[in-house]
Amino acid sequence: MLTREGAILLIGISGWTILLSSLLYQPFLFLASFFLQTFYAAYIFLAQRRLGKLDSTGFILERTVEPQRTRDQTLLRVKLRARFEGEGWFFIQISDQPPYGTEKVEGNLEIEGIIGGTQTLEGGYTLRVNPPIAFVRFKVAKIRIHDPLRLYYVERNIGVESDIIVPVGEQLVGTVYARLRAAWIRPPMGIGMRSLVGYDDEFSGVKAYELGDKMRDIHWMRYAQQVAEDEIVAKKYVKKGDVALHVVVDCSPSINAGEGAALLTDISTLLRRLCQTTEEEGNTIQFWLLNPALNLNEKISPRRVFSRVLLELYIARIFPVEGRDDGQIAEVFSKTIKGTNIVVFIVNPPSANMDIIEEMMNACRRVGARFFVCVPEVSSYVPPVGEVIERILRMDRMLKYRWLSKAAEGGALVEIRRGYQVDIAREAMKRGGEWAHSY
Amino acid sequence: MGSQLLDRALLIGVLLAPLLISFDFMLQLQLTPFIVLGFISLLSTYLPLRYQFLIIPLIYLPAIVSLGILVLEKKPQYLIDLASGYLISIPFLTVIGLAKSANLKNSVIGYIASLTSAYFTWVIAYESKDRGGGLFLSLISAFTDRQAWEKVEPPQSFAAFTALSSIALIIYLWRARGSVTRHLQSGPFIYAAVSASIAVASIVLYSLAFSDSVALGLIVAAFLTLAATVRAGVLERWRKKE
Repeated sequence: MLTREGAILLIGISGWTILLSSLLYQPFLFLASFFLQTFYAAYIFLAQRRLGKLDSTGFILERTVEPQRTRDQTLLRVKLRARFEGEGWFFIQISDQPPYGTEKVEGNLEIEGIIGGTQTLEGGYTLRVNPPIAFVRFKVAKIRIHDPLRLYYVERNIGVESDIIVPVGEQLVGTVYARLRAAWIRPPMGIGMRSLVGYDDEFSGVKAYELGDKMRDIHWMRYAQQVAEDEIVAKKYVKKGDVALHVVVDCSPSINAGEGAALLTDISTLLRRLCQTTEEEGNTIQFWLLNPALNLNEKISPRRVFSRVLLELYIARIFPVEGRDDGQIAEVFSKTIKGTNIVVFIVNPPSANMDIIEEMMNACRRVGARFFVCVPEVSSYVPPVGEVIERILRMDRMLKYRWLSKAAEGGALVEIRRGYQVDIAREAMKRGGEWAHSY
Repeated sequence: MGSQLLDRALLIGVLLAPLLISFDFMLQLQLTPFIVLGFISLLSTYLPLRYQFLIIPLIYLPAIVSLGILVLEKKPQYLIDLASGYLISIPFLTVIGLAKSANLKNSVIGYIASLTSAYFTWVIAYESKDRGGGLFLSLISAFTDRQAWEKVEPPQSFAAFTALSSIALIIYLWRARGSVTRHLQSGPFIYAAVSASIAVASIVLYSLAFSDSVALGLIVAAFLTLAATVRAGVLERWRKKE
């Protein structure tokens, strides 16, 4: 691609050549201008051919992300390091994109300089993670490889996508609990850690050490990391089985996103995983299905063992609504849930039932129940091919974010991405204490 | 060290043509105090930071004095001399701008501007010497009478110096702006320089036999520029959108 400087240069010399040939004609001036114009035009033409054939696999970008907790905000310190494994030197520009749900607070997203041989290019920036975001994904960065005069460049994608699960590990567990104002039962997706050996109760978070707490409850690792605060931190536990998990699924048509209803498949896998984990923990689970387009008769076995009443009693409360509700659902819901319960909302806004979901979230806040909002990252289900689709995806993302920032206050957000719904629990456990990922 | 010396030598080679033309017309002028004041006052805009307090008095004092003489004593000569001083400073201003330019496009465009302004002022100075009268009046005459502009024949040495300084310019910019990457990617530079030289030589040879060499030159330059713009700009952007 022609750079801005290259384009202005060609326009400028062309203007001078025309001026000198018509108004102020003098052969040696015209020939000087003609020589420069033909030289730079031919140079750009040849540089385009040369860089077009360049194999960009030798360009390597390493991105290191280091999460950091300061007071009530999570910062991600991102370091970029580019190198070239091959022969030659190149002037390059790298531009990274902040992931969804983050904003840059300092540093530059773009770095530029010369790489080659042993010379590398380094830069970095700091991002602030928006409070409801629990999972951030860095997309591939863009690299521009320039010719020596920087009149032309080729653009390539470089690096790999990297994921950071934000509220994972003991370091952030305490903050999550503070936000939710209550103890944290082992979350259904595996976020959290097992209790110490010898305890029947579940590790639920941290608190300030008080008189009467056992010495073995002191969280030594966290205390060592936060020694500047001059406060001893202790672990908290709650009894197993005290909690019920409520899963609210908005089965509006928007849930059918993706090719071959890929989102629906992922949600069902996530639900299966939730059931499995909850069962392992000895807790109960209750489903709330809004607007289910199910023909219940077909679901009943020929033996007539299952009736709708039984189905609702043991498995799910089914509400055939399409945004039309006079508050009954939220009322039933608020009577059912308790302060110790966890509620998981699975919704793909915009949908007809957003008002009902908001009412249910309000009910959670009233009774003090903790809640997650699982929202799909639609761009991972619908490839952004074409400008129109890209624009629609941007609008969808903006709408989701605005709705979440307004409605999901007090809850935590989990983004559902294609292929990640299965491994959220497993990955979270595996990466629990691993804070720096480098790719 | 050797590299720096070579870069400086090349820069001097770039500035050689406009400076020689400028000094040539300076020798033809009959300098008066107000021409010198006008010349210095515009050049003072490039004074270093610690002397910048001198810029305002150097610009405004001669202007106010010459205007005062015009109004009070009805003598316009001082104001005309001051304007002539401003006029002859233009080639030097463009040369300083070229030497201080921070990027490639400014250097190239500044080079052509300095050559053109130097030659333009040279023609005016030659005319004023030939026909008598002030520099400023010759400027007005050159604008109103196109024949006066075209009948002046510059010495052949101007063309030779311009050719040398043009070649020095592309080599200097390649060395100065290409940084370390120029050593391994000099292919396009060499091929482009050879192609441009062949194109210029062809136009010159063509001009010996035919009179429409300018049109041919414009067609060749336009074709190359258009091809580079379409291939490196338009098509690439189109592919990127796809």
